[in-house]
Amino acid sequence: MKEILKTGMTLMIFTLVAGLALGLIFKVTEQPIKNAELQNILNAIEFVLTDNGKLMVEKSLINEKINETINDTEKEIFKTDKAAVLSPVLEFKLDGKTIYVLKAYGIGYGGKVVTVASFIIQNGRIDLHAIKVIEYSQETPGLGAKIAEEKSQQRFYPIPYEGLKNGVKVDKDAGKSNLEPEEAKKIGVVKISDVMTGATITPRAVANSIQAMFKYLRTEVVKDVQ
Amino acid sequence: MKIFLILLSAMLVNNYVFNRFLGICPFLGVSKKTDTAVGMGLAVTFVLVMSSTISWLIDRLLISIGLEFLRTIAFILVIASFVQFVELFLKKNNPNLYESLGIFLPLITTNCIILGVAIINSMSNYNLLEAIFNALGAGLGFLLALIIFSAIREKLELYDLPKPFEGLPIALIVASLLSLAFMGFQGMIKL
Amino acid sequence: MSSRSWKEFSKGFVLENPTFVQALGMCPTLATTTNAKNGFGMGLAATAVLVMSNVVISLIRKTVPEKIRIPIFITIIASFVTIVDLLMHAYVYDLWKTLGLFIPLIVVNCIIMGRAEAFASKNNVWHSFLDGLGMGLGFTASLTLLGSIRELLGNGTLFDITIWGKAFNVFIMILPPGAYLTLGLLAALFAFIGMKRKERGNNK
Repeated sequence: MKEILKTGMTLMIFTLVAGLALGLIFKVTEQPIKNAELQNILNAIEFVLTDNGKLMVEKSLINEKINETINDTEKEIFKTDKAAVLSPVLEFKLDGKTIYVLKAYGIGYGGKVVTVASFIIQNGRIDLHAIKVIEYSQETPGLGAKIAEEKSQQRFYPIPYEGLKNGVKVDKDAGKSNLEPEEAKKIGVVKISDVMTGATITPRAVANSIQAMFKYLRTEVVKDVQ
Repeated sequence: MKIFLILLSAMLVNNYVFNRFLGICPFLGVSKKTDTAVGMGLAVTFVLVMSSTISWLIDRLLISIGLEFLRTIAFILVIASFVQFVELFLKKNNPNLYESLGIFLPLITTNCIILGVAIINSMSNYNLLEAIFNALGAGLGFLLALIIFSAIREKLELYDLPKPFEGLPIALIVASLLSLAFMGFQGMIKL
Repeated sequence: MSSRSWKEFSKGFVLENPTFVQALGMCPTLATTTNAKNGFGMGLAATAVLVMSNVVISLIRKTVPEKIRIPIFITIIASFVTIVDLLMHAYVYDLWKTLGLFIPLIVVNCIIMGRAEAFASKNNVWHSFLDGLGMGLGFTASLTLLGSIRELLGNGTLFDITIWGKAFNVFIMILPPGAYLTLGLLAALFAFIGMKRKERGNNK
């Protein structure tokens, strides 16, 4: 009995010390982790708001919008059966057009694949301007994780209103692997099988996210489009 | 329907051994004979399903008290103690089963497929049922991979190989070809 | 450095190379070596955990009761892994993202538990430190080598720098089969070198 107590105590002390040490490190790294996450999303937002190398929206305005929502907890505000749109929704009103920056996730190979996208509302149209995939850490290196590459992501944008209305699909699902990338975008097809051979689940998650964001805009935000 | 897809996906399309590289050590180590391979595969499947269930519950508990950063340490301790428990239980109550499976149990704690699946379940936000089926699929996929691989290796023993390729190198090259074959399943399932 | 210290440090590189000779820690070796940078990063993360856990385990080796040795080792290793995970999340965000799942999985990397059991629990702190560092760097070197070969053949680049780019790409090298193949051929090469060395030794 005495021995059981003794080993039990030793084990407990070790676990306790380990737990305390971890708690300490967690406290120390908590803020830097938050900053890194914020920087990551800020970079993504600035990226999708860039047009021809120039920001379409003032930097100060972006920061202001982000600071407004920084303490809100992330919520799922719109769901389709394959993807979900997350709060916050950033809205930038410019002369003649409104730009929405949305965040959504679809389920990839091993978890969430989160995409930030910008949509431009103008003349009764909703066009997808750009996307940035910000979370793909569970995708397989060399396969799904290739979504991180610029040249993979470029295949997803810009997609015009007509394409979005068709429903965004990856080329294999649409059965249209023979199209040129730019041609494909016009009908909402993402030509990806040549740059991400062997991986279909990850790009599909991104396509589903785009589709969910578009649906959300069309049904909940801007109803006065054709 | 979705749980069925998760099962198939974990077993074939995204086979944990050939595609996600989890559980490689026992895959290479215990695959010289088909009998032992089957034993190992079954033991892993059993532990996987049970420990995934427990880790799922622990994960919810950790999230609710805001201690997610303790996930890794909690999971591995749960797995280690569970394996120990199963070992003791079998030894006492079913010596026959212990004879055939028991020897693999100590090896399972450090099999990364167990911890890997627990973490993937937590990261994918699976509910309990989905988590269990993902674990089951992973286990069966592991069993399948092990059976195929060991059958090939048994035959390989009979061939005359260049000396430097004997043992590990040829095993890896066989695994490469099998992995290539499993890539054929890619894109079959749309989740 | 005494010759003993040098021996403990250097054995991890060739003689007892964890990857090619001992075939330990195969999962991250195969999964994260799609390019040289990831292999290098994974190797360093594992090295950090290995050195720290070796030192701590060697420090406490006399106070730990034999019976509960394993759970305590696991606790120590898991703590260091979590620390490395948190630090990488905070300060090398991109690398943390790409390595993903395989950082928490360092816990079950057989190299670390193996060194704890076979070396650190029996040797003094200084030698355990050197052993951990040597094995870790040997592991890093193997992973970087593997990653470089796969990146070069599969993508035409090395550490993201274009070497011959699109001119010659064997795409399969980046995919899972390429991982097994490259590792298999390298292991054969190591076995070949080992045999030659032995032959030479016998002839002397």
